[in-house]
Amino acid sequence: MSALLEVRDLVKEYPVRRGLLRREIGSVKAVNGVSLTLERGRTLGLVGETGCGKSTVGRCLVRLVEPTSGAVYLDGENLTEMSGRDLRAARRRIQLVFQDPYASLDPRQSVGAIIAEPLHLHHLERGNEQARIANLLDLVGLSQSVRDQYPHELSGGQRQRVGIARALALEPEVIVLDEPVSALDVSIQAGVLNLLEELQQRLDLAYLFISHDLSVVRHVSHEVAVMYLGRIVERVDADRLYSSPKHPYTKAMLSAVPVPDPRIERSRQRIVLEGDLPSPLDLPGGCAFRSRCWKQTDRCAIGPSLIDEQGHAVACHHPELE
Amino acid sequence: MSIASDGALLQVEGLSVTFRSRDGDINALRDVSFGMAAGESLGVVGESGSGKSLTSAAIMGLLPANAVVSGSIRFMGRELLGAKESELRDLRGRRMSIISQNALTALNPVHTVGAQIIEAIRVHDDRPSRRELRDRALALLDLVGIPQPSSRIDNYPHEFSGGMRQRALIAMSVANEPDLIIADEPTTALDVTVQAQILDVLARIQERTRSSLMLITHDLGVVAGVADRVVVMYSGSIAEQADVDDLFHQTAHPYTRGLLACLPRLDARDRSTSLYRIPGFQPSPSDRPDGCTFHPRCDVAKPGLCDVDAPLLIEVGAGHIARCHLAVRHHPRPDGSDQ
Repeated sequence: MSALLEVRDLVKEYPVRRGLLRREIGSVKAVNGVSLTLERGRTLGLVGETGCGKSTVGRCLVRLVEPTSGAVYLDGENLTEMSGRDLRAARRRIQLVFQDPYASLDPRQSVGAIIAEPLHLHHLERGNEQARIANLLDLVGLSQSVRDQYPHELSGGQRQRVGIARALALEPEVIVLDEPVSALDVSIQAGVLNLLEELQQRLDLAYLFISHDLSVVRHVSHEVAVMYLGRIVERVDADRLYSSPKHPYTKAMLSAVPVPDPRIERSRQRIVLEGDLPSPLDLPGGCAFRSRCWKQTDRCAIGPSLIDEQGHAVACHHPELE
Repeated sequence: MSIASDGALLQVEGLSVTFRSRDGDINALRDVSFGMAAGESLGVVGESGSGKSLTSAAIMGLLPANAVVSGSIRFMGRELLGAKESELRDLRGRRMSIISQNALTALNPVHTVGAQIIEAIRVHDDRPSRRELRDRALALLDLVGIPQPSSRIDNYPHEFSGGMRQRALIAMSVANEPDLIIADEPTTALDVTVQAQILDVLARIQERTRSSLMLITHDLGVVAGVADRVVVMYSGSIAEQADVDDLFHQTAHPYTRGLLACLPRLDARDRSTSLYRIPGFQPSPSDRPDGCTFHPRCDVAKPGLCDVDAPLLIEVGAGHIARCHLAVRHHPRPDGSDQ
């Protein structure tokens, strides 16, 4: 049986233009051969730092961004080759929730109209719309009274719930969550994370959870993929990633996350990486991480491929031992 | 009540900030008191709107003109509230300095990084020669961990990455070796590996210059690693204040407990437990509830008490205070460890 969602060798290149005539002088590979699978009812965390291409992956999945090459299969059907009615139908099944609940809701529409918009676009629930809106508000834990309110009247947490209700309106099977709690205060963030988990259990949803926050990803994910400069460098179930990371980059990143306990913090060994992320315009050949890696050798001049051993995939010539 | 540290560098007493508006007065900061000793690291924690950044603005004398301030801020024995602007200007940058959150907008895009660091030095010391100034700027860039400073000093801010800009800003802030460094969310917009680099730089500077650090943040993890003492703010007041170990392990205020319980943790064992959720949200300063400002969100609030009487700060342990009717005294730690 094939997975609900399968991404194969996804590549997204952006042209780089210079000068008065905007001549193309090269290209940047924001996503450079990413493959993923996601099963029904499961959460795959996609983590990485600014500019690693994780959001571009999410956008390619819903074809908000057209991938340069590669394929996205939803239940065995290739989304990247669809158009017209087929694409429209497939889009109902895969929805996106954005990071910024302040920017992703139309300020001139009421909450009710925002949630109903996908229904209109897909000609659904005609005559039954009000009941469906009421039901969606219930589902995301908002009171019925917000239906006639406007986004500016809501708190950040309420707004993000509206964004989730809008994504749920079409009863999707997959939701791409792009930094869904990053803009929220911690006391509000917990409520949204709990809601996402409840919804997953009730509706058997599959989540691609994109985030830079490793603690949040740890909490929500069954499996985690780590991205660095357009590639996946490590992929494994969440518990193993956190207990025994294999890629030096994952190890450094995990060691840098502060833990809210002063005693643990005092005893931790932090790996402080030297230097900055190399410019994607001017990547070192071979392993992209080698310019900052303390384990790098001559072998790293040839890029390692992602090799799966007993369900723990890593792209490194000198992985840590499990 | 406040905790005066011996040899206090900074003593804030009963600090209140009110904004006059057409719809009435907004009490943004209410009766905030705390002290800082020389060389100490104080974490100030709170969510957006808790008043933590306003506290630092009041100390730096950088409040907007429509703010009405009362109370007292004594810094190195001098009263800052009501002091002349010329006096404050002399202190700012030389004795106390601030590292702000947004390094992109804090740097001037039309001057080189080096020129801006040199300016920060010259404001307080115009004696050194151009050669000396440049050498000092290079040494500062080296101190904050910019690789090959001599090839970077003449770069413009846009040629720096986010982490490097934040470092350049730190270099400017510490140019005159201030006694107090206020860092207002210095790592919030940065990736976690860059955050680790910046916190490392701050620790190194503090070790070298013996300055005190006031770290304002919403991140309890960062506080746990950096602070000696912590002030937790909620809705314009101090909710709890304690040594870092007491705050995390003898937590006295239900809000602090809630904040800790709602954090997803890297060292959690599995994903099966759902997170604690603090219901509702922080009230707006113009519409605070009666009694304890936290009571509508509190899971142990007592009707008839917490919704009626505003609690005072009570002492629950050595150097540990909490603004809660229900806070109980914990036992001292005889050996300096817990319990």
